[in-house]
Amino acid sequence: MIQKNHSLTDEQVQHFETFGFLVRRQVFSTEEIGRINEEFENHLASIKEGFEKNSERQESRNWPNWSNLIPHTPYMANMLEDPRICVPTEQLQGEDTVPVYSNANSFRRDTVWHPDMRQRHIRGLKNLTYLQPTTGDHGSLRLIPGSHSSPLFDELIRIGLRPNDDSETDFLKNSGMRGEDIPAYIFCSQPGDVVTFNMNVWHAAFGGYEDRRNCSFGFYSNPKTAQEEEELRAQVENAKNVRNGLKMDLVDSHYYHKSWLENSEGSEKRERWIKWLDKWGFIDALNN
Amino acid sequence: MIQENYSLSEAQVQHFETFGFLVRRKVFSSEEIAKMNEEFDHRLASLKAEADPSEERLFNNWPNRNPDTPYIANLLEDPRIYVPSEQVVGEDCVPVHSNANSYARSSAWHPDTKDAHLLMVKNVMYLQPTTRDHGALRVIPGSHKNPLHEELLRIGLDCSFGKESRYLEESGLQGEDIPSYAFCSQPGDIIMFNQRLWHAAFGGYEDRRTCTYNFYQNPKSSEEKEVMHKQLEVARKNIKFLGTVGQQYHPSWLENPEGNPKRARWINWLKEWGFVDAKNN
Repeated sequence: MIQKNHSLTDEQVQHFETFGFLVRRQVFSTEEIGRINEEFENHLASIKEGFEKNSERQESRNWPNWSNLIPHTPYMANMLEDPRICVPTEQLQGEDTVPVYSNANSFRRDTVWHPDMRQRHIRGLKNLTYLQPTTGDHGSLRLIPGSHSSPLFDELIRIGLRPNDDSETDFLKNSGMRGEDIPAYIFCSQPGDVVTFNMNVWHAAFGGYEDRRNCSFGFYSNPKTAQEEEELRAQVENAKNVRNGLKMDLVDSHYYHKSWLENSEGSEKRERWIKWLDKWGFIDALNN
Repeated sequence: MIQENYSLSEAQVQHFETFGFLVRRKVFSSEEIAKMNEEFDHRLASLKAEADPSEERLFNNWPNRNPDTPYIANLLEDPRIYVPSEQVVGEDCVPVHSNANSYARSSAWHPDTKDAHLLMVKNVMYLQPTTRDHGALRVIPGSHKNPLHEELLRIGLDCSFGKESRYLEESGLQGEDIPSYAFCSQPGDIIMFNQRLWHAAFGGYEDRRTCTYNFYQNPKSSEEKEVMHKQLEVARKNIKFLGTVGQQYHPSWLENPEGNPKRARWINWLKEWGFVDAKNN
């Protein structure tokens, strides 16, 4: 159910709070997805050669991924300010929530079980749209309902569902199970569908393939307590690792591109976001 | 993974405790399932023949412990059923219910119990292949524990005892839309779940068959004992509501002609707690 002003119904908010995620269908039209795919393809083509060379040299395990906030992908760059993304997000995280990440990913394989965030006070939320149809055996995001809350969140850490490196996890190794066997909700999707999830929710994707595409829009809550501030500072530190760990293809650019930071159209929302990102050190952490 | 003595591995126990259920595949052979289906067919046919046409039933169901279905009755004492149950519930647990069910429709979202003090587990075996759109049991992983268990009650997902779900009505969602794991199964597979776990089945059809084996924890504390007394009342009510035909503990089963010591212990316990009286009279 999509309301006219793109806000969520009470039941959708309840769904998000109870299960830790919410699925909205047909949020973007086929034409819009066509345009996003076109921008995605063009940019992917422009970085592919460099990516392959770097990969060989570094023997890295990463995949082509880049910031959406670049002038080469203007439609994708503006999606953060699209009310279909920012209105529900503000409803769930507070009007003063801020988008910290906006990424495009061209995955090459499965994604193992993990939560995006371990901090439990500051809240992180990710909007994800897949640019190709997905099914359980073909790249669908899987989420463990309710795993954003304790005790399930902690229990999954305790049993060792998340690998420490690229190897098999303790739980999977000991149980003889595969990642696919872990009980979960499978987000079978068509391009244009959006899943919004609490970054504490455990998720994965199996049946990966070359150039499995998604666009993600990650927002953090504005910290109110000392504990939340401390956790946010940890996220700033983590941002440096993310940038280095994912080896993003920024083509001699910055994560928050200067054209985005210039905010030439004078968007008040973006202005507030930029101030906040600067104040907390995300621009410094991700751009330098 | 099935170990030689049918006991669960440490990881399987962890899975059960974390997610509130455990799936074991190919626990029974196709020959065994055929035998069960044969007994099921005969008992269902005789039940239909005996039925009072004016009587309305939610679905056809009867206790397994009767002489018409000897193979199914004996499965309670099969180590493939009781060993894993004893492992997660305790060696002194007791099979309080064991039913055969021939459903005629889907099952809406509900937990079997809301009580958090006493561990009750249900082993369910589907006698036909199931898929998510064709009668597969769906479970919400981790919903046996709070806060998720109570949150689902609070939002009004509960449809037990034939009531409509407030949450589904208000959200415009269907039961199928609730995020869950679908136990797509082949006959011979078994799912064991904590009865606090929220579950449902969609894509129901005429004569959708299951056999269930429920084990209750032996209560130790006064709180657990109080809950067990309440379960006795629930058991009385459920016979009427579910329209179960026949005595839960048939005299032939209570006679225990082979002198099985495990069964003897169970019978003593069931008598002592009043279940034999509550469910047979």
